Amino acid sequence: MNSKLNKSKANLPVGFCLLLLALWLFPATASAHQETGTVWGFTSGFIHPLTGLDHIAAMVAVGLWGAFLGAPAMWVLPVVFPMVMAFGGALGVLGVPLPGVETGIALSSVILGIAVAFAVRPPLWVAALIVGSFAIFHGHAHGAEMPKAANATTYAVGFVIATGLLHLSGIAFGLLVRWSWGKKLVRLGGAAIALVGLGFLFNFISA
Amino acid sequence: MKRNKSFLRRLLSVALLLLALPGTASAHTAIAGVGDFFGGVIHPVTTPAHLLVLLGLGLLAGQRTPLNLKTPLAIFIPVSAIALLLTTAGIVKTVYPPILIGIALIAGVLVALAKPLPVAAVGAIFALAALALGLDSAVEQGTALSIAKTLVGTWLGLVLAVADIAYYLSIFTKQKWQQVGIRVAGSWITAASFMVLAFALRR
Repeated sequence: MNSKLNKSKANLPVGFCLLLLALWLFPATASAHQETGTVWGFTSGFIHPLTGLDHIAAMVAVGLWGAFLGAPAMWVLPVVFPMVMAFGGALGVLGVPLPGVETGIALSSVILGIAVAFAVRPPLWVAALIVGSFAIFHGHAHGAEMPKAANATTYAVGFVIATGLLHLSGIAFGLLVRWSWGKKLVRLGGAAIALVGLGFLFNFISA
Repeated sequence: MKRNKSFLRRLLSVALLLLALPGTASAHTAIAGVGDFFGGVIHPVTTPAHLLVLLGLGLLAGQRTPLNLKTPLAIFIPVSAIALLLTTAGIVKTVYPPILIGIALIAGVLVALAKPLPVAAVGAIFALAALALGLDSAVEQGTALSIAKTLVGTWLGLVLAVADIAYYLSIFTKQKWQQVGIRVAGSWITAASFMVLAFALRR
């Protein structure tokens, strides 16, 4: 009985490895040019802001700073950001060159992260100006990388929704500031975002 | 010998398992089989540019408190019907895409700003949108009956989409955060429309 059990245990890895190997060799649909059509347009647009840590860090920082500043900044910043980002996106789509896009994106994480970490509370218009300025760089990157084959409408809707959801996740995290331990945690989050930005700025991290 | 048999048995079970793996189902498209009328009903919500305009209009009408759908719908219903009828004359095959997206952009900006608007301004936006959406919904081929069914369906789809979005949205305008949420949605529509407009103009 025992020897039978041991034997089956010994055989298991062989069968399992064989199965894995077979599955690995199984051909999947080639998806080199999947950014076509309505659904793929939305998918590639939605995934685009989520595939770069530099974008994610900055988007979360916008929400985080907004929540940290409280109302009305909490909702003004996430309203301002996509609208100005669209302007940058249009420049990118139209092929208008914008110098230092990657530097601007990395700097956005650094500055916004520092603002959260050091609990900087500027007037609302200053905060909106800072956030809006960085939004142009993010928008330009999204616009310039917009796949030509994608459905433009669904691509744009997808990436705007993903960006908005990143802001919302930042706001959700930022709402912890109502507790003293939460405030420390949020400021720590800001410091982490600033570090990520510095990593991108000095090429310790690549997108 | 026994070892080889066991290996072959395992190989066979793996092969059977692989045969059972599901492939991509491609029996039909999303719209095929729904018929002319229902094809028309779902046309506005399955055309991304139309949906963007309808969302903008729905948000714009639903955002106003108290809800007043009389003026927008009193304009939207007849103008969209006239525009759909005009498509049968074949004068306009499609509407220049930037016009549709431009209307969505205007609606999105107005929702994001959430400023009080004169009734005439709201009416003008709804009239322009109804005209553009109707003219852009031409049926390319089919018998007179199938074209008529599709156009009636499209008209119903357009009106239902705007009215439903506005009505159900108006339920969620009581709290401050809900109003903010609508403005954020407006800014998203603005951003998406602006990008698409740039894309359309580049072409």
